[in-house]
Amino acid sequence: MNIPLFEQFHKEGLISASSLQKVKQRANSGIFSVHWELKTILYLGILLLTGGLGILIYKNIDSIGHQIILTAIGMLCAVCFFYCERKKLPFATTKVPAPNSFFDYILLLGCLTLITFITYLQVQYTTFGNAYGLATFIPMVILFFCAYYFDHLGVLSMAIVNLAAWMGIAITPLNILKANNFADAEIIFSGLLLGMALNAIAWVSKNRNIKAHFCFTYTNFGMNILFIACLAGLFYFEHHYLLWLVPLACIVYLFYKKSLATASFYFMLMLTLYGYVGISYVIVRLTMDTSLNMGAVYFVIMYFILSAVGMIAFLSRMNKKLKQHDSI
Amino acid sequence: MIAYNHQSLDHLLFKKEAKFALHHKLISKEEADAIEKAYPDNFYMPNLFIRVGLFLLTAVIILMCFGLLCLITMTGSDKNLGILAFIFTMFIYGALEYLIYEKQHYASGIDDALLWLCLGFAVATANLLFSFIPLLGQSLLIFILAFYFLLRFGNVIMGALAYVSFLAIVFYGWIALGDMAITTMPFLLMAISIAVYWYMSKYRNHNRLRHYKSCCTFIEILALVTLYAAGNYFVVREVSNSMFHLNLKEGGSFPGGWFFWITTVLIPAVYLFKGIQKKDVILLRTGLVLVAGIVYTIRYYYHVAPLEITFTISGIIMILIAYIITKYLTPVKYGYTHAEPNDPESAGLLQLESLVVAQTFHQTPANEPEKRFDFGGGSGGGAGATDNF
Repeated sequence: MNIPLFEQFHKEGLISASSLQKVKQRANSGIFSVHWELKTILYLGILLLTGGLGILIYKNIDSIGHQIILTAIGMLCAVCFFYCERKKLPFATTKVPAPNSFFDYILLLGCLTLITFITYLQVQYTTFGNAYGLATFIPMVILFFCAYYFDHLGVLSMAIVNLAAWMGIAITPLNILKANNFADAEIIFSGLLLGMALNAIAWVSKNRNIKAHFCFTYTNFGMNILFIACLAGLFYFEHHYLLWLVPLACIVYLFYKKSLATASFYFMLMLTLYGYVGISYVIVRLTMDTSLNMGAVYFVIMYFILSAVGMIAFLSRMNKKLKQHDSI
Repeated sequence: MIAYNHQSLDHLLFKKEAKFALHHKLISKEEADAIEKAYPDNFYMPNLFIRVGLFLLTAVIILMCFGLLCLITMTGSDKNLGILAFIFTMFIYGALEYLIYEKQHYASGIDDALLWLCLGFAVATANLLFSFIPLLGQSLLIFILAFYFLLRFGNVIMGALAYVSFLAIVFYGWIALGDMAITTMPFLLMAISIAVYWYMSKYRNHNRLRHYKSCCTFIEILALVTLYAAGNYFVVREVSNSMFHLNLKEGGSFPGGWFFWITTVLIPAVYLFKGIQKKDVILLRTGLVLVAGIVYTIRYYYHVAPLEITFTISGIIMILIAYIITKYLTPVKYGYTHAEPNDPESAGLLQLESLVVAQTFHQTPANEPEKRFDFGGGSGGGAGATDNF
């Protein structure tokens, strides 16, 4: 803190004497927080431990030693969940703060060891049968449950990634049965479905006020998956790619509205970039299909220069608009 | 010296201090508003996300314009292309100065893009016009440009580039002196790093350098890292082996290798100790990161334990360290606390953290026939969405 500066503020009558006193006190207190350092060490520790344990089981899967490791993992998992269950604040549909700064990480360790445990059981004893997807489905359900029960954004993100993997996996094995090209289309459509589902969940979370603070996480994943699926559709379908402009335009429009409503610069940037990539792809492709040779190249370059200028103007205007919105 | 409007820069600093004080409830909202009003700035400073977008689009425009000009003039030879690149450098620099002077752009994304492209085109010009420039010349060129841009625009990246290219000048200049140079190189680089660190930490908070504060901080961190790199056994051994053709055998040491083992372990320890003693965030955090350097270096040459055992044990140790320190600091001790600092960015950090968690801990089995499960952490995959945050 720059004390002479605050003294100057005080002299100019901008801040009161008591405020100046507080500033001076704070500057001289010299309290030093190592919060983020400790959190990072803890986080890396969990990353290394769970990664190490995973490989350890994998390598010792046929030896006697793995049962000891498995017991250790099971106990570690039980201890973590026991701790979380005892320490956690009562469940509510609104945001529940963590009881202390290490609670989140212990829960994370618990969830990760639990997944390792389940995966092991599945691989070794096929506990959950051979139905594909079930081995991903169960961790997903557990993760979603933990995310809501203990109110944890990180676990929620893991659960969403698992959900995507589950949807992808439940479809990918069909790859073997069908022609390759067609199977890729399935992934694109399931991506669209997943994106819509996530956005629907986000909408419900917000409107019914069920863990409304999860809304951004759902929307963020949902938006990216939707846009990527749309762009993949554009790139992939040889003959009907123009049709994909329709869903792309719809999604851009919906997120444009959402971005204005929530004054979100992030959504505005993403929709601009994704939309720009989509439109540019179509224009370049249409130009290349014409019989102009060098003319097409000139046209494409001119298009990029002019459209980028236009986009800059658009983003600048949106910046102004969102800022005004921000202050209302 | 600096291109941006001095008064606006100063006012920006004032407002930043006021915002900090407001956030820590040292001053009231009315007082903060009064300060905001008393010290206006007329910079064009869009939101961070918009800045990213403007940066990308500006780069597209400039590169496409260059492509268009290349096509129109249809020049195949390097000389002509070089002249074109030179004209472009001048044009970009002019546009940059104009935007800053007339349109008051400051960290708008457009000025960042122009600055980087200007440097890129200037270096390209030199390389196209002169067919062969030795590495020493390249470093000298980059240093001069980056140093000028640093002084003129107070840009952090340019500061880092200036420092690194300066070290490169020393490196390539000193090599030319022969055998004696090879042995003394690490010591010379260490001495320079120490000097730069000392200088930066001394003048970082100097009022005359107030607009370069973040540049100084960044160079300070870099100096600490280069000091370690110059004294690290792995770096010294492998660099001298590949550059000076020592033909070291696997596991063979080089003359004086023991000295570098000492510095490899000692330097991070000294950083940590000094950081704790002086409550210096930069020393403390750099020291913590460099501990990984010690572990990596030792593991590279001595096979202590298999990877997974190392992972598991170091994971347990790290969790224990974090736990013990937290317990130890539970009543605030020696002015240290483990409580969360009241940071304005913490809400955004939490979202970011959740994405990092999802990215690094994606552990679910990827059910493919030949690779049925994958316990290991660290592998991302999943919905590629997380990369786009």
